[in-house]
Formats: sequence, C-alpha cells, structure tokens
Amino acid sequence: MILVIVGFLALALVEIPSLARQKKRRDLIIVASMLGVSLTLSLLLAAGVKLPSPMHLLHSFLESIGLIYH
Amino acid sequence: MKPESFRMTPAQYLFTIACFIQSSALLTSFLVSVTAQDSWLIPITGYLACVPFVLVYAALMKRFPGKNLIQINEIVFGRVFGLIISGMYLWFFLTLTSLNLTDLSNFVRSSMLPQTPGIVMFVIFMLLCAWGVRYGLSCVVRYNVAFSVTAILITAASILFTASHMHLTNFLPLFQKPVLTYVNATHVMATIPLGETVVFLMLSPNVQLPVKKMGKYFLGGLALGGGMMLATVLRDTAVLGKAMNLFSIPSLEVYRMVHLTESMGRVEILFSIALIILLFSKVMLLYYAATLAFGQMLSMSSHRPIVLAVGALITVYAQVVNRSSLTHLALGTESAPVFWTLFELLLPLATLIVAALRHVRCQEEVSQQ
Repeated sequence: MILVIVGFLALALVEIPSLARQKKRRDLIIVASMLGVSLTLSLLLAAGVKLPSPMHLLHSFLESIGLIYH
Repeated sequence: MKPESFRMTPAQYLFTIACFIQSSALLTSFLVSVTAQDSWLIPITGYLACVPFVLVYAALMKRFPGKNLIQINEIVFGRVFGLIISGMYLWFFLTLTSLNLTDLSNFVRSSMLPQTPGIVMFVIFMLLCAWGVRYGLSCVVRYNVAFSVTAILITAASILFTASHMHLTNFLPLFQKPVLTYVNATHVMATIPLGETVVFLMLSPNVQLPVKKMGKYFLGGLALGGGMMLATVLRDTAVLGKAMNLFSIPSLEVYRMVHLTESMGRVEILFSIALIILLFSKVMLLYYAATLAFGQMLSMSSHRPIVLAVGALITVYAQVVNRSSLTHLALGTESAPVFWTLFELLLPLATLIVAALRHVRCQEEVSQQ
C-alpha cells in the first residue's frame, strides 16, 4: 500500500510541477484526475478488492445473446 | 492538439505493421487450441478475410488524408457523437495494450523469471515504454525495421535447426474438423493479430507516402507478418504435430528441442529475445496510440504530459483484464473475435458509409482536387 502511494507520488512529481510552472491549468487538472483514478484503483487492488474485468462482463453479455464460439 | 511533424519512411511503415503481426507469434496457441495440426491453413484464410478490413482502412485514409481516426470520427459524426465513438476506440486501445502487457509479463514469468511478481514486470516494462512514448512517434518506430528483420532471421535459423525433427506425417489427418471450427480460427486470426492493425489509422498522417499507396503498403506489411506466422505454425506443426495442443507456447518447445553442439543448446533464448523485443514494439505502439487518442479527445496541448498517467492506468488495467492464461485463451478464442469485429470492421465501415451519405470529405483533399 505504501509502495503504491510512493510510486504515484513519484509520477506526480515528474509531471505536475512543470505543468504548474507553465500555468497549463487544463492539462494539470487532466493529469491529476487520471493519476487520482489510477491511484484509487491501485489502492483497491492492493487492499485485495477484486475489480470486475470489462472483458469478462462482455464475454458474459455475448454468451447471454448466443454470440460466442463454443 | 498539434500533430507530430515526424513522418515514417515507407520501409518503417511496412516493417512496423509486420512487427506488430510478428509479435503475435505467441498467440499461435489461440489457433492451435482450435484447429490443431490444420492450423497452418489459418494464417492464409485469416489474411484473405482481413483484406476487406484493409480496403475499408485504405478508403478512410484516402477520403481523409492527413487525419487520424479520432479526427475522422469528429469530422464524420460531429463533436459529441464523434467523442463517444472515439471513447470506444480509446477503450479498445487501452484494452489491447493491457492484454499485450499481460502476455509479455506471463511469457517472461513462465520462461525466465517464475518467482518475480507480475506487477514488477508491468511497472518496469511500462516505465521503459513510457520513456519511448514521451519522445514521440520517431522513437516508437525507429527500430522496428531492425526488430522485424532480427525476428525473421531467428525464425529462418530455427527452421534450419529443427529440420531434422520435422515429419510430414505430423500434418495428418488433414481437415477432419467441422467447418465452423475453421471459421472460428479464421475469425480469430483476422481479428486478433491482423485486424488489430486498425490502430495504424491513428498513425496514417505520419507516413511519407501518397494516400493512394498506403493501402498497398498496409497489405504488404500484413503479408510479411502473416507470412511469418504461417512459417511459425508450419514449423511447429511439422515438429510437434498433434502434441502442439499440450503446450501453452508451442514455439518455445520447438526451440527447446534444438541441440546444435554440446556447448550450444538452449537456443530458446533466441525465441525469447525475439518475442520480447517484438512485444515491446507492439505495446509501445499501442500505448502511443492510446496516449494520442486521450490527448486529442481532451484537447490537450501535447500528448507528453499524460504519458505517465496513461501508463499508470494501463498498469492497473492489466492487473484486472485477465487474471489467468486460461481465461485469456478462452476469451481470445470465444468472445474477443466477435467483439473486436465491431472496432476493426463495423465501426470503420459505418464511418465510411456515413461520410459518403453526408458527402463529408477532408478539406485538404477538397483543396487538392
């Protein structure tokens, strides 16, 4: 868990200060949001939460309408 | 977002496409699990089935010169609907990158570093790719000619080395399976390695070729990559026969059978090196396309600031997308070909039809005419 947070802090330190210095507010918000989403998902995974795979959901959907190979 | 000024040479374009297909040599297990000793037929039928896909891509490149897939969607479908379609492609590119990253990690762990956790592979590999993607397309495609030629030479050498183990009887019995089995395998071949080249529509403005010749080079790259897959499957079948079904990576077992002299065994390291560099090239290209798509959809000033953030997203996604090789194989042969057809044929075809119905053309082309 700590390693995940340290890793994301390192990523943020690479991008965010230079964007802040260049006053690219829009880019800064986008990068911070994307890192925030990734950090949240990583923390959930590190905590042992099983996140659903979109591929498995699609497989189940295609199977329910009979559109897969057997 | 300003497009990159870098232009690929025709040779780089052709070999980058070939490299992209060659990296799927790992996925011959998808074919072998369906068609066993008849798998050599599938690269041929898959290539033929993929020709209509390429014709659609060529028509799009001709109708919208200098525009990539995201820009084409916006021109044809308008801002809002175009963003929805582009969002679907973005998900597709992210999924492909994550799946290939998973493939690479699984391969390295099963063949060389069994004790290393998958996440370590993901992080190291993504950092390396991010380094390349930050430098732009010139860095992403720079070494693809060398990668592709190296892989061709290694495959050619492996055919010579294993010639003594080859038996024509390993191809028998021929064509004993139901027709639907061959249709399934052809669909897998056409959509999983070959049709994934739809990603090259993201790079079409960055090629030093007249739009009329791009389709030919596209087909040439597919033929080179498909030819290498055919050679790989023929070699594996001639050496292993029906036993191919027993292995998750039949090619690796073929290389393991090579024993040149007392001091020169273990030539499977050649296969491992070739596969790792090819998968590296493929993941980096898909990663670049996903970053470019993100940047253009969000109207960013450059793709560079989001490279690491997209990399982090892909690393997380790769841990979720497929938890085991067995589910990967099942999804790859049963449902992925059906769903991938949407992105590789149906959506590009729908774009072309809507553009024709609405008489939408790219301004640059209108001005050329």
